[in-house]
Amino acid sequence: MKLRSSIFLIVCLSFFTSCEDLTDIAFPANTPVLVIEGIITDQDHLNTVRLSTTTDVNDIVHSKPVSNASVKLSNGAGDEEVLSHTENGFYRIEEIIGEIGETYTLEVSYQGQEYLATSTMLPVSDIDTITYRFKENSLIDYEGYYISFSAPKSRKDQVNYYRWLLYKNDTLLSGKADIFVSTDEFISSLKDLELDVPFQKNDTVTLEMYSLDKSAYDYYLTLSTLITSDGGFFSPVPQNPTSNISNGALGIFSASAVSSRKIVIE
Amino acid sequence: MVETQTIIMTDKLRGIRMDNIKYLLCVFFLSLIWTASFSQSPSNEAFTISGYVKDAASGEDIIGVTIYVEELKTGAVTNAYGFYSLSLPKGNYNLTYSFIGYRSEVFAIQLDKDITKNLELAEETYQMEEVVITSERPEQNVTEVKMSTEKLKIERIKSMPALFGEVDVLRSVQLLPGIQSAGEGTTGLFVRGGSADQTLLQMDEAPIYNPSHFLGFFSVFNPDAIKDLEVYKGGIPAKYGGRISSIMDIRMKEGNMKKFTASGGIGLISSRLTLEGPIAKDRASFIVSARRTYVDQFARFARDTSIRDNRVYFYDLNAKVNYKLNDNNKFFLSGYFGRDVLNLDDAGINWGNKTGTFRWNHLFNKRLFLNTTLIYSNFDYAFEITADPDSFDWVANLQEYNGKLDFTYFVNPKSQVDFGYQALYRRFEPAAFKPRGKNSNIEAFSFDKQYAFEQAAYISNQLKISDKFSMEYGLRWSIFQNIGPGSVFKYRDLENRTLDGIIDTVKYARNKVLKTYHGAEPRLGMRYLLDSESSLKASYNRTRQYLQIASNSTAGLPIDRWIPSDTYIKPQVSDQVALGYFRNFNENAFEFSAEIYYKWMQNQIDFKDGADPLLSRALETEILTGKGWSYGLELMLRKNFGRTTGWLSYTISNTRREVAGINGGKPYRPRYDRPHDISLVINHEINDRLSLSGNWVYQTGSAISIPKGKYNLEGKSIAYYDPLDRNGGRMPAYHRMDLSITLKQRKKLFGVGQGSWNFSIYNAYMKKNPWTISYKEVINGNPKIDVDDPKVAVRTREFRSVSTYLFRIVPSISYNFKF
Repeated sequence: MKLRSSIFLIVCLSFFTSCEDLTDIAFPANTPVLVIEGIITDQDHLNTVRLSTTTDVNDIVHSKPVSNASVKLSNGAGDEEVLSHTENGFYRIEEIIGEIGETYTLEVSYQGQEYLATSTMLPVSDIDTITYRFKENSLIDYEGYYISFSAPKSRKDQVNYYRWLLYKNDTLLSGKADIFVSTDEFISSLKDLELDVPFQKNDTVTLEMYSLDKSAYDYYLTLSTLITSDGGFFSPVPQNPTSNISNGALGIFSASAVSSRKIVIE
Repeated sequence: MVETQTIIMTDKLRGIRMDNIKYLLCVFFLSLIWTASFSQSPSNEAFTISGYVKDAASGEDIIGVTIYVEELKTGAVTNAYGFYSLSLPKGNYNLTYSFIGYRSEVFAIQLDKDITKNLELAEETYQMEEVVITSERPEQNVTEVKMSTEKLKIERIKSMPALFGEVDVLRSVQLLPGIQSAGEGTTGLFVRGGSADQTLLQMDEAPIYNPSHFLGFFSVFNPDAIKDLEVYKGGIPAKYGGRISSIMDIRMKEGNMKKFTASGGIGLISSRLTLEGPIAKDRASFIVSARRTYVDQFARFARDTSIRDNRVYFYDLNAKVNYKLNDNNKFFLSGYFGRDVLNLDDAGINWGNKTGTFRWNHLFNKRLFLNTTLIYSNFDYAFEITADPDSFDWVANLQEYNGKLDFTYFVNPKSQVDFGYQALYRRFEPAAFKPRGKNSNIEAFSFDKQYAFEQAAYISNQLKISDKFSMEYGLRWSIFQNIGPGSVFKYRDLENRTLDGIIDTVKYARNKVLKTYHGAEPRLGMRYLLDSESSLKASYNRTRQYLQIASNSTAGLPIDRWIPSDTYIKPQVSDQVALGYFRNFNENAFEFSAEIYYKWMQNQIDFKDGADPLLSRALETEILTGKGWSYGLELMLRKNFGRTTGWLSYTISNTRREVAGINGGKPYRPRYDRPHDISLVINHEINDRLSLSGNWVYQTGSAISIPKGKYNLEGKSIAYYDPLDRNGGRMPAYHRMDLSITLKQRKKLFGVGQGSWNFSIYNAYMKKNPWTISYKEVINGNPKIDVDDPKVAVRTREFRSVSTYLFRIVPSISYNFKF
């Protein structure tokens, strides 16, 4: 998908100047659909489950939190935990801890419907090195410092899937272009991989690397395709991200191991 | 176990029954042809008059010239090589040779032996005073059996308004009824509900696998090198096959046999130059035509280095040599070479087609005509990233070698038999990656190449049963084989194939057959003359297609992947019936036609959610198979000669697909389903120097999915789509007017040549036609503000639909010359 958009970009930049405008299109009414974002990692402070529902396209509110669902987390060893709601649709994981190799199951019961998802926590390698370099303003890049890093493959001789999160001065970058996922299927190692985000002098940058299973990887990839789609005929028909949750819920439940590195741009 | 056996048994039974049916069909057709050929032969002595009809000025063959025998109220039409043959009883006849835009010629002949009559027709030049329209001109539109066919002469295309100074063959063809585009600036042809890869684009019979320049804003067909084109939307003759929806047959110019000429043009983005002339007068000729864009040449003067170093261009080169050994043997060799290059900073892509055609026309005798054609076609693209650590080269390639024998046997004036054989070999190389720089992380790998062998044999008969009723019926039989080397994955669950479900890989050695498909493709066309000015026509055709593009987007990209049918991907099959009413008015000045069609398509593929067909090693795990159908009404009113020419057409159609696993298994619209489609094309010659032309189009907006709601994930607002409502919404209707004016210079160019200026305006009333619509968060009501920009003070944050417009208004100017 990245390839398509970059080719498209090349053409647009080289030849045609276009303009954007707001259009009015009649949107059909929405029956709220449950959205589940569940993550369990080997680092307790990152673990969380958030429930919400969709809203009408024209609604000022972009998401409605769900506080009255019954949420249950279990692992392969038979441990079970009923998660309690804290606020704004967030549910806290207190007892069950994330362990590499373990498979987790999330069960949500909401308005008489049952939703189920499982995910296996795969190992993740440590980030060996992290550096940055300066790039000037060009047709493709904004001026700034770009982070690159190296790491061995998480599991040798197997295809691994990764997600990276970037924090700028402890604030998570969550823009449209900040979904970084990849597979090591076609590369020999994670060597000098550059992330396409410009930082400025004195920024403290934290890089987190998450292991993903195939279904979580597919989810983030299709999510990225959806939100960067221009809706044109070079793009596939827009579809909801492929979810690993049953019964038509949106979102993802993912078990990930996490490694991280920090660097200050000087 | 018992169950499996039963299934195998029923399959066998079905096979036997099918074979029987095919056998019967064959016998039926052969006997019909037999009857047609011999029982109807004139009992008394018959002789043949035959020959070639050429353009008097250039010496090029003229296709479709009517030769009418007054006394017998019968006639013939020159074929694609300008050849005709008429076998008539001994006697004296008046023969009229006529063709639109040319002065008719009448000859009295005494037919008491076989006669060769070669003829040159001169173009008609219109003088205000004498607009002579010959009466009783037998009009092909009404009288021929052929229906659902559109012809366009290149002069007509050249007189249309240009975009960036370029007129375009495919953009012009999209103005014809039943032929749609995916959207503005795309060259793919969507014919009667078929997708773009179901149309065979062939230039001098060589297939063009990717017709786009600049991702589809222009096509590879340089108008200066093209003579004319014909599009078969239905009622496809048995001679043609390979694609299920449509055949677009484009013919290159042959080169002037009489004198040396040069012509060309200078446009906003490209220049063209064509040289043609005799090598030996009336025996051999050549033509070379080239076109290249030069925007990148201007970019060299840019101050910004990042612009200066970009390379963005395309070129086309057409060449053809004709040689007439004698009246019975003609040869030509033609070739096309074109390439697009888009290089920006450290990324680049280039793609192009190369084709070659060699043809030998041979007359065995006055009644048997043979065409032997050898064809080569190559499409390849390369994608490269030059900066380490991600640097790589990625190349992909598709080659076709194709040989054809096409016989025409002129049995008598009432019967003509066409038969032939075709064999073709394709080699698919989907993608090969290799690291480019020294420090590249990319591992070299490539997909397995695929090889396919396809053959077809056909026979068809054009038969005049009575003065009013004529028919053309035929049978094509095609057979397809995947051949080794290659491998086939075996799946645990055949219905539900997944990568994890692969249990075995079967390898096949070189030239071993992996899978075979074959089938009959019956074709039928009928015409009933109601009176001298109107007719009813009906047709049926079945077509089979053994390759397709694996892409989950609507419009073609150069990186689209062509795949052959294989063990899991079955050939596409289509059946179409069409019914038409044809009528000419005002002594044939106006042609009117109304056609309805219904088309069924089997084994249509679509992709699972999230599939990425481009880089899949096992495509069968990513596809879903279903069916499609389309029906519609096409109305066309056309004026072909006089000072004002053009057409008005209206199409209403409906296209659906139904694939288990998509849209909850319910039928859905493909994006290109656009029920209403109106085109108005007008050209008016004010005087000999000045002409005006204009196009107006109106189309229902493309079918698109519209979000049903929205939600928030990690701080991002995301559109929610109802999975049971694919393409349930519509873009706003599309309409546009283009205008142009052409002024010929009064003064001769350097004393001999003719120059003309063309001023065009694309989208003259500046309609903002959305090119794409996307749904996203809009800050402060301004879609241009970057949602992630931290410097913007957010007042409002709304979820809105945002349109992108491509062309508001595009004026352009070009200069054309001819010596």
